[in-house]
Amino acid sequence: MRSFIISVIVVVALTMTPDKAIGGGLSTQLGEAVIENLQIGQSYNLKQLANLSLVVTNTSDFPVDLLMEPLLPAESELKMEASDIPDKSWISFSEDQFKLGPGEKASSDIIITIPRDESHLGKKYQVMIWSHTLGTGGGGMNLAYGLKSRIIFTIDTTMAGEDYKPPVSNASAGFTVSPKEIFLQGVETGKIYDVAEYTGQILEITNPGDCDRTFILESRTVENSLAMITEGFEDAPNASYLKFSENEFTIPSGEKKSVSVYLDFPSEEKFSGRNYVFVIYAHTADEGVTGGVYSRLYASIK
Amino acid sequence: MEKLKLSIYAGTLFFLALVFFTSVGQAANPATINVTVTIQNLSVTATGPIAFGTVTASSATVASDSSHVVNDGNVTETYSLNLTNPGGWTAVQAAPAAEQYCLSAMFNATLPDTADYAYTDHALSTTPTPCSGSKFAGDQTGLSVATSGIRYLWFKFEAPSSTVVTTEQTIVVTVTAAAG
Repeated sequence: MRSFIISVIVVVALTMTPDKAIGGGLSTQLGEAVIENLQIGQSYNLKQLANLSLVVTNTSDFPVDLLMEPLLPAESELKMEASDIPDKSWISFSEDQFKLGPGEKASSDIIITIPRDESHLGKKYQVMIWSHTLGTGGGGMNLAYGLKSRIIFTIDTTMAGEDYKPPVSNASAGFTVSPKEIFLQGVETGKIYDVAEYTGQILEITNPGDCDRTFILESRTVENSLAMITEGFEDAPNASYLKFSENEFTIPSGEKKSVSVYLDFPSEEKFSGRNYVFVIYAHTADEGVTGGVYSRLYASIK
Repeated sequence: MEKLKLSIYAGTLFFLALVFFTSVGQAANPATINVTVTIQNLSVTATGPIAFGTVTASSATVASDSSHVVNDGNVTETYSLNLTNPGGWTAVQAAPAAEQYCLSAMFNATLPDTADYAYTDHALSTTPTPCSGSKFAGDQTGLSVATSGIRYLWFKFEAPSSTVVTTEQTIVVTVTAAAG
């Protein structure tokens, strides 16, 4: 009799059979950001520093409650030889709770506050910003969705003078470079490839800001960048093998620009059968703070 | 001679001042701040909810439907999984006692057997735990999933050995994506 009662109770608790499965999700343009040379004893709002906000879109067909919170990275999530942020309280948000309808976006400033403690000079820290839905009631097992944005920051090796104030800049790290990844298969050495012609993918930089902005485009090796090597690929042997039709240009507010990309591997046997990654680095110019965005080009040599 | 001594003394003071200035690490011109977004467009989609049907105390049930988890971003992603406890029960990573339960998750192409789940590798906790080659792995993993990659996530529920909970309970499992 006792086991029957237990069975009934558990049955009551979990027999809610949900309606048919539906897909839900989240997306963000901030997967990983690296901020270099912050000062101890200062507070930095990334929106004011470089027009960089955490914007998360509800890609579900239903409304969600969204929460943003800092998380210490798991050991496997630490990158670039960074250490855990010493205290999650260093990170705060202008707003951290949202109710989002289908397709709606949540936007929050990320604020990094570093205590005035000289033991942090020259250190590199990492924190994960966890944006996640809260799920719903209704019985049974429900799915919620989350994104972890990786924030890595370095602290200057020297301390600024007493009169130092965090810079407020129009530099934008909020512009976009697309596509984020370009793949070229069967590349022959000794030939110049027009990437758009070969892959159909055109490199575009979009300036969503409210003023005209000058950008610089550079090819970099992984070693000479803040990027990490992608599994199955090795670092480009020479960044100069990737070239652009223009390296510096101004894009009016709200407009985009297409740039031709050329790949030119010299005719050398040593490249044969290998897979390389190049980093395409677009960044602002002539501004107090440099705002930059990465894209990547992968080349598999025949 | 006295003047020379004085100038050496003054010079020493100036030198000491410089040493002191450097030792406290103060710089008149701090390094330029660079902000670089190294990865853009992180996105994940998963289907749910998951039905377990009727379960009884001390039983183990593998749901017959999976959640389809899709990397619809533009970069390789690794997933993390965690759960949120319902009010009356606590998740454990072992055989559950009274008022405890164990919810396990596995990436697998097809419906796993109940015995395929191991507490060490598959039991969920409230901490978002990244997938690895073994964590939450079956014949698929949630590690380094390529753009547009689809994974099938299956769940096993082990009910409390006994419970006084009489109200409806909801367990929320969160699928989180990070670049890498």
